[in-house]
Amino acid sequence: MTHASPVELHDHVYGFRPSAHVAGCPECQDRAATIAAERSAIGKALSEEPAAPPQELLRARRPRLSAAGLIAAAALLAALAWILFHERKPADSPADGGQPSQAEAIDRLIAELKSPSEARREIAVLALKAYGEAALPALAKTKIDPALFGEYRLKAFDTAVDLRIRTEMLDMDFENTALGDILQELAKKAGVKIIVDRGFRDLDLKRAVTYKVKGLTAVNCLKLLLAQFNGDFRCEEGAVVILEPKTGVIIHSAARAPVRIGRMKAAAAKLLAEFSSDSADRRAAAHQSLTTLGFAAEEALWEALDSKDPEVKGQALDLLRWLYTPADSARTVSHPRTRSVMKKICGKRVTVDYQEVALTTVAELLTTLCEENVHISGIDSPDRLLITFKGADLPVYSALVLALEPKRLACIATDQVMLITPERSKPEEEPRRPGNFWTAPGEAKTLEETLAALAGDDAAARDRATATLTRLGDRALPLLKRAAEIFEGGARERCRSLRAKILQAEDPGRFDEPLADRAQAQQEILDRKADLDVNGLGLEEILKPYGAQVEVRSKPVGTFRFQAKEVRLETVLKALTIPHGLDFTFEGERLIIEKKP
Amino acid sequence: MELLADMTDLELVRARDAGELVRRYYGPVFGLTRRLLGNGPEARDAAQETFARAIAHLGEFKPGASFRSWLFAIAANHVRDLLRRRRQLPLDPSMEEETPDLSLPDERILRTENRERVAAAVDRLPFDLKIAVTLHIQQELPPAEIAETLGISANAVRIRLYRALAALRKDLP
Repeated sequence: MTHASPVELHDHVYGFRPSAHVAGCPECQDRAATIAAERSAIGKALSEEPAAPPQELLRARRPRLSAAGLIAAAALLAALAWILFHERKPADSPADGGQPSQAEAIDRLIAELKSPSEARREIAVLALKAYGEAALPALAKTKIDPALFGEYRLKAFDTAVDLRIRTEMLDMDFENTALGDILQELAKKAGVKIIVDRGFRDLDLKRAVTYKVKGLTAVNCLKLLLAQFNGDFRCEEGAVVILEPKTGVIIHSAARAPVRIGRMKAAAAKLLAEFSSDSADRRAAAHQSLTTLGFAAEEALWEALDSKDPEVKGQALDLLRWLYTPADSARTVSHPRTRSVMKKICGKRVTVDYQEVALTTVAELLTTLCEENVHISGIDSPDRLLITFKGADLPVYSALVLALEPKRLACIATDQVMLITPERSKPEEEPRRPGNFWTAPGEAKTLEETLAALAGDDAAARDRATATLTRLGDRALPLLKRAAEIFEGGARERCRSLRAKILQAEDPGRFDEPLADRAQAQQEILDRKADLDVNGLGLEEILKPYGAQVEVRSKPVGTFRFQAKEVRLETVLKALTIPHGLDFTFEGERLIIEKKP
Repeated sequence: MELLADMTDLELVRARDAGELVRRYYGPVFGLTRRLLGNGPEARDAAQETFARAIAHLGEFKPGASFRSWLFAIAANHVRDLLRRRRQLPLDPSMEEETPDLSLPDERILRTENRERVAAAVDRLPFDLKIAVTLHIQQELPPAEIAETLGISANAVRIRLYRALAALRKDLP
């Protein structure tokens, strides 16, 4: 009889591969017992007295609140609003700025790179990356370990070289020639220097390739050539540098800076102290208010990184990460393939009369109609789930949304397939935060000065600021909205009225516009239900049974015909606006339907 | 009435009940950082930092994953970074592709008076082996959870653990 080897015995004892033989063989069990005894001895040697958490970590934070708790939370929210907008310590300068200059801010961040605190160093690195090339001159003067920045390029983008490779037209004709030789020739013809980044170790310059192009710009020649090697490139410091694509992805070629509006350290510090509260509502309210303050809370957030309370420190870290992550757009940009799937199901129209049709049949029809893979996911017995819906000449998307929602199903376009899933398994959207206003450093400086002037006492400067912001048009809207939340008194009123004036004249939405989370009252409006029997009606008439205040600034083309029961307002809005390139938002409790920016 | 003790980790994460999560896991996390960093204030700071980071990233915790593994992964990465910065990260120079040649244990580790020596020998192990031993034997994590924590395969965990055992047996007089 063959017994288990020592490795098999270890696998059995340590739970990697339990062995039936060892379990049933007395001799092997004896040997396994020795291993188990050794394991137990190591365990005893490593055993320690259980440690109690420090007091500041121990607070139980239970979000469930009694009615009295809710009242207290409401009172606190009011108090927070009061703190935010009315109580002003001398340290706070909501209107006149008092912020550091861009150069000072960068110098401070560079100094933070030497901080003993890991959190401070992490945020400093993140912020310096956000400043991009605006931080490079200051960084160049210091002896910073490039390893701190990982794969981030600490070299300035070279616009002259970039221009040259974009304008120089080339003909290239090589057969079985080493990549290095082709690059050398390309560099010679384009009149630029080409170097390979040290980090790109996998690039085999000796590999022979055949490469023929005619009348292409040097930049396109490079793209075509490097595509074969999974390579990327960047123009920096007088040369074209060939990089690994992962390096290329995180390059920030542009210099940026945030628009800092106001400085409210004391108010922010009070809000940060709320994170020590046992009430989830108070903590959530504090988070929301700090987000509204944006860079006005920056100084207090940095100080909170030294907090002994991990919740305060964790929230400060989270908020600083958001502040120093420039958002190009607050709206999610979906995968190109997702967009194409959406385009298809919004573009094709359908007339359906489903009377208790199995979901599987609906999916099959959809597959045929849209020529897309349609999968049903996470639904038990989809053939027994019966759909009833009637509609004529509707976009497929509208029909699907209206037909599936009463069954609490969702139709999701992914980059691979269309999914019909239970509503609850829809990927949760990231909570939307307001924008953090990063832009070109020159523009950031101008905007900071302009907003400060608008809030200031000098009437002539205020007029100039009004003219500048008016010229800026819709780009000024989110800034004025933020400034109106931070400034007080006359400054706040000026921001509001100027914003309203620009809104009347412009189509908003181009500039990192904040999209606030829906308030409870707004969500309640969207959750209203109605039975609809629509026969040749326009959007406004269809929405009437919901009794909501609606302002239709842009209408979908044509009228609609469909029947659906117990449909939520949000479902109807989605179904009838999205395929027509419209969007719906709220102004207070007034529902606005307008063109998607 | 819903008792906190009855709530799963995921329910606590969704409720953002950091206090209860700390109660549940401070001991194990501190046990891990203390083993990896020694019995000084640094281990306490590292445990605290682990919870600060976990709280800041609670929204990123994926339902279906093990919260304990996720927390240990944060702690392990933090400690690894600390040691790397101090250039005190002894790594196992050998390849991990093959199971070491294991024999049956002799009595050296088994002797009760050897407890301190065994613990000291574990401390001398390269970081990757030490963390495998600590998670498996001290924290009693199953192989799959250790693999999840360290971002490696279960077989790599097995090889690291056996390398550690072989090293310990060799190291003890």
